[in-house]
Amino acid sequence: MAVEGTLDLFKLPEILQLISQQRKTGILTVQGQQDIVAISFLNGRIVAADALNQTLEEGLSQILLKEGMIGAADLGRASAEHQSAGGRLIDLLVERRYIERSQLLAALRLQTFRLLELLLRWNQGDFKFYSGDEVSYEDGFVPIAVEELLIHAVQNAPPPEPARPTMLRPVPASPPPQPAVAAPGPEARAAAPSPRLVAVAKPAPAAAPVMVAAEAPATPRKAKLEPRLVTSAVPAWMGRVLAVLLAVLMVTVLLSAANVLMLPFPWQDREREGLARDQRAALYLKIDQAAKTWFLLKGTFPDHLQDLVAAGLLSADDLTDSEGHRLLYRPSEESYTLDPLEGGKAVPGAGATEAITGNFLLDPEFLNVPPEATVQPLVLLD
Amino acid sequence: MCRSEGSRRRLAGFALAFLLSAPAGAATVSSPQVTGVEMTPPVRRSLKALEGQWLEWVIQNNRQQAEAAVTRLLNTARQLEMKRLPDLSAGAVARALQAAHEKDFARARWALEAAERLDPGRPETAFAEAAVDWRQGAYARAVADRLRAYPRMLAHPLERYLWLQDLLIWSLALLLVTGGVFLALQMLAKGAPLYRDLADLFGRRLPPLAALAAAALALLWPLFLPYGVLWLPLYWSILLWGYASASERTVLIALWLLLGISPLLLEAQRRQLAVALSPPVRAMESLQEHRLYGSLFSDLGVLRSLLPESVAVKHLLADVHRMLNQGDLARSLYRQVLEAEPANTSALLNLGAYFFTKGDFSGAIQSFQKAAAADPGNAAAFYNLSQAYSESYMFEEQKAALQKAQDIDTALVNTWLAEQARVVTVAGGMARIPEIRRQLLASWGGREVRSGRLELFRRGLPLLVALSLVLVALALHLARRPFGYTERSAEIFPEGAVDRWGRILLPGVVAAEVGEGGRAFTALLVPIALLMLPFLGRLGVPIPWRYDPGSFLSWVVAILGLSLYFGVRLRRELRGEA
Repeated sequence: MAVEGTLDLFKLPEILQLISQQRKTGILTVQGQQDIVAISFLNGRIVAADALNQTLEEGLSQILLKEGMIGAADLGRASAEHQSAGGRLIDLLVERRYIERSQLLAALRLQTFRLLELLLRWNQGDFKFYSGDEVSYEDGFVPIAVEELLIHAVQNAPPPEPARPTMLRPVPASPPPQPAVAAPGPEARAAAPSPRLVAVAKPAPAAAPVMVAAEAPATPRKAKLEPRLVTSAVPAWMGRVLAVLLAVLMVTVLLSAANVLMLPFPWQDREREGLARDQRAALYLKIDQAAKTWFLLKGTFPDHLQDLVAAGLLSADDLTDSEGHRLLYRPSEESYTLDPLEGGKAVPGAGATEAITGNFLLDPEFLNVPPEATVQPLVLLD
Repeated sequence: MCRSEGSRRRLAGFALAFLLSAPAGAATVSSPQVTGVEMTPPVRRSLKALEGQWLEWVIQNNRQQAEAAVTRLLNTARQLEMKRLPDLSAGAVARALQAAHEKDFARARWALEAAERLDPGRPETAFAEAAVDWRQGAYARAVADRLRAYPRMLAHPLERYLWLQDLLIWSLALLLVTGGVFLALQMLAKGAPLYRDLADLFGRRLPPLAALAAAALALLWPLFLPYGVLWLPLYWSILLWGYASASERTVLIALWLLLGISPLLLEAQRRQLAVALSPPVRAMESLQEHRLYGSLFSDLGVLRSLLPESVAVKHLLADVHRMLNQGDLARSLYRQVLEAEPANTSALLNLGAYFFTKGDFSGAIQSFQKAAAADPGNAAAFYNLSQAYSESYMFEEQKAALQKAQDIDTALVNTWLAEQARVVTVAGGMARIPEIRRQLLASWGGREVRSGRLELFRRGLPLLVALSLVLVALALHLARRPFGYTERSAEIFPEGAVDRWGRILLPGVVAAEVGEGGRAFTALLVPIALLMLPFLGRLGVPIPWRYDPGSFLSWVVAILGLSLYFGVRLRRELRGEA
C-alpha cells in the first residue's frame, strides 16, 4: 500500500518522522521539478538514498576525492578499469584496495547525509511511500535515524533563502561544517563511522523547520562551545564496559545474596536477618516434616540429610539455607539438630533442635502419661 | 463477711458440680503441659489406635489387608471428627517411592492409593505418582500425573499462601533486577558520552590522561564504599538523568520509589509469613480442614500459652474438645467464654447441646432461650429449643419454637429435620480463627516493635532516600545543564556481526536507542522473568512440601520460554522487522 501527498500539505521532516515513529520498511520517493530522490527505510531508519540526476557512484566519487580518501589519479584508473571490467565501481575500489571498506561505508553514509540534507530544503513536490517487507542497501551500512538526520540538518542549514524546488548538486562549493569521516584503520570501526552530532554551537536559523523527536531529551544539547581536550581519547566501548560491570554486579548479588537485593540499604541489617530467619524457619519446617516422615517409616531419624533427598522428601537445594550456608545435621535417638555452617563453624543463634516429643504418632511417651489426678477431687462443704 | 460466705458457697457449688458432672474417666485427663490440650482416655485410646493401625499398614505385604488397615485408620480418625491424616499420607508416599526404587511397582501403587485416601487431593501424591510412573517407564502417564499435580499445589491454604508470598518476593526481585539491567542498558547507550563529558570536565584543569583517570574514578568511586554494589547503580542513575528522555526518567523515578517501598512491603509481608508458619496457625488451619497430624495438640498447646487470656482461643479450644467428644472439658471452656461474652450465641448453643446430650433438658432450654434472645434471627437456636421442649413434653412450646425456626430459614430447618438432627451445634470457635490470627499478629508485632520515633524513621528511611534521589538528580542536572551534554550516538552497536547479535540477545536496545524508557524496561522484563523463574522457590520461603517435586516446571518453562522468545527475535531480525 502506498501513501502519497504533496509537500504543500506535509513537510518532509513530518513525513520522515512519521515513517520513523511507525518503524516502517519501504521506499519514499520525492519528486521535485528537476529531480527525484528515493529514500530506503528499514524499520523506520534510513539505509539508502539515491537521486535520479546523480548516480550513487558519481556522488560517492566526489566525497572520496573531497575527503582525500582517494587520489584523482587512482580514481581515474579505477574508473577506466571499471568501464572495461564492468560491475560496480565501489566494489572495484575495495577489491583493488584503493580504499578500505570501512572508508567506503563512511563515505556512503556521508553522501547519504548530504543528499538528504539537500532534499530537506525542498518545500514543493510530491511524495509517495511504498511500504514493503524489505529494501536493498549496502551491507554494513549503519542506518541513519531520522532524528539524527534532522538535528544534523538544523545544525548545517544555510541562511534562509527563497525556497525553490530544485535539486542542488550534492557537494556545494563551500559546504557548511561537515561531520568528519572516521579515519581508516581498526579504531575507525569501533569509533562509529557515522557523522558526529556534537560540539557544534550554532543557533538554528529562523526559517529552519522545528524538529521535535518523539522522545527527544528535554535538555538543550551543548548550549555553548567548550574546548574539547580529551574527548578524542575516550573510547567508544567505555559505555559497554560500564554496562557489563553493572550487569555482572547485579547477577552476582542475585546469585550470592538475594536478600541484599531486596533490602539493600546498610541500615537494614536487622530486616535482612529477620528475613533470613523466617526463610530458615520455613526450611527447618520442611526438613522437620521430611525427617519425621522418615521416622514414621524407620523408627529413627536419618543418618544424613542426603538420605532425605535420596528419598525424594527434600530437594538438593534444601541442604543449604537462603544465605548459602551448608546445614550441619546431627541426629540422635529421639531428636536432631541443624546448624548452618559459615567457615566451618556454626552460625550462632541460627541452629534448631527438633524432637519427637509432642508428636503422638512418633513419641511413645506422649500417650502413656501418668494420670494427672489419681485422688478423689476435693469437695468443699460449708 | 457476707461476701466471703457467698464466695465460699460458689466455690463449694462449683466443686460439687464438677464432681457430679465429671465422668469416671475425668480423673485421668492428661495434663496440657504434656499433650498440649487435655485428653480424656477415650481420645488417647483413639490416638493410640491410630499409631497401632499405622504400624499395621506399614508391615502389610498384601493389598487387601493394607486397604483394610487404611479403612480402620480413617474410621478411627472419624471418631475424633477428623477426615485427613497428612503425616500418614506423607509416610505412604515415601513408602511408595521406596517400593518403586526397589522395582516393587505393585506395592508402590497401593501405597499411593493409601496416600490419596489418607489425605485426598495433595500435590505430593500426584508428584510421587509421576515419579513412580517415570521409573516404571510410563512416561506419558508421568507427564499426565505431573499436570494433575500442579493445580493441586494451589488447593491448600498454607501452601497457596506461601506460594503467593514467594511470588510477591520474586516479583519484587524481578523488578529490581530488571531495573539494574535497565540501568546497564542506559549505560550502554549513554556511558560513552557520560564518560566523555566527565573527562572534558576534568580536562579543563588536568592533562588528558589524568582527566581520563579522574573521570573513571568519578564514575566508580561508590564501589569502594561499604555496600558499594547498591550505591553504584543509584549514583549512575543520577548521572544518567541528564541524558535520559522523559520516559526514561519516569522509569528511573519508578525504580527509585520501588527501592524505597520494597523494604516496607517485605517487612509487612514478613510478619504475615512468620505468623502463617507458626505452629498455632498451622494447627488452626488443620482443624478447619479436619487434618489430624502428629503434633496438632502440642501446637494447640502453644496457641494457648501464647494467648492465655484470649476468649477467642478458649472458644476455639472448646470447639476442639467438642469435636473430640470431650464434652466436660468443652463445657468448662464455653462457660469461660460466656463469662466474657454473655451473648455469644454459638457458645450458648453448644453449651445447650451439651446439656441436651447429658439429658439435662431444663439446662438445655435455658441455654437455647438465651441464644434465641441474643440472636432472634438464629434458626438453630429455635430449632434446638423446639427439640429441648419436645424432650421435656412441652409440645405447645415445641411447635411454636419450630414454627419460629422455619419462619427464619425453612430450607435449613427442613434439612435438619430430614437428617433427624437432635440438636444443632455451631463451630463458632472455628469461625474465630481469623480473629485469633490477628491477635497472634499483634502479639508478634508487639514483640518486634522497638523504640518509637527512631525506629519509624529508620524504617521509612529507604523511602526518604528514594525521594531525595529525585531531588539530587534534578539539582545535579540543573547544575550541569549550562555545560551541556554530549549527544549520544544513535546506534548502540556499530555495524557488523555484533550489531545483529547484540540486538537479538539484548532486548530493549532499539527502544534505548530512541529513548523509549517504558518500552526498553518492558522488553527487558520478559526475558529476565524467564531467566529468574527457577529462582522462584529460592528467593522467598521454602514451601514445606512433604515430597519435593523440585523446580522441574520452572526450568522447563524458562528454557522453552527463552528459546521461543529469542527464536522469535532472531526470526524478526533476519526478516528485518526488529
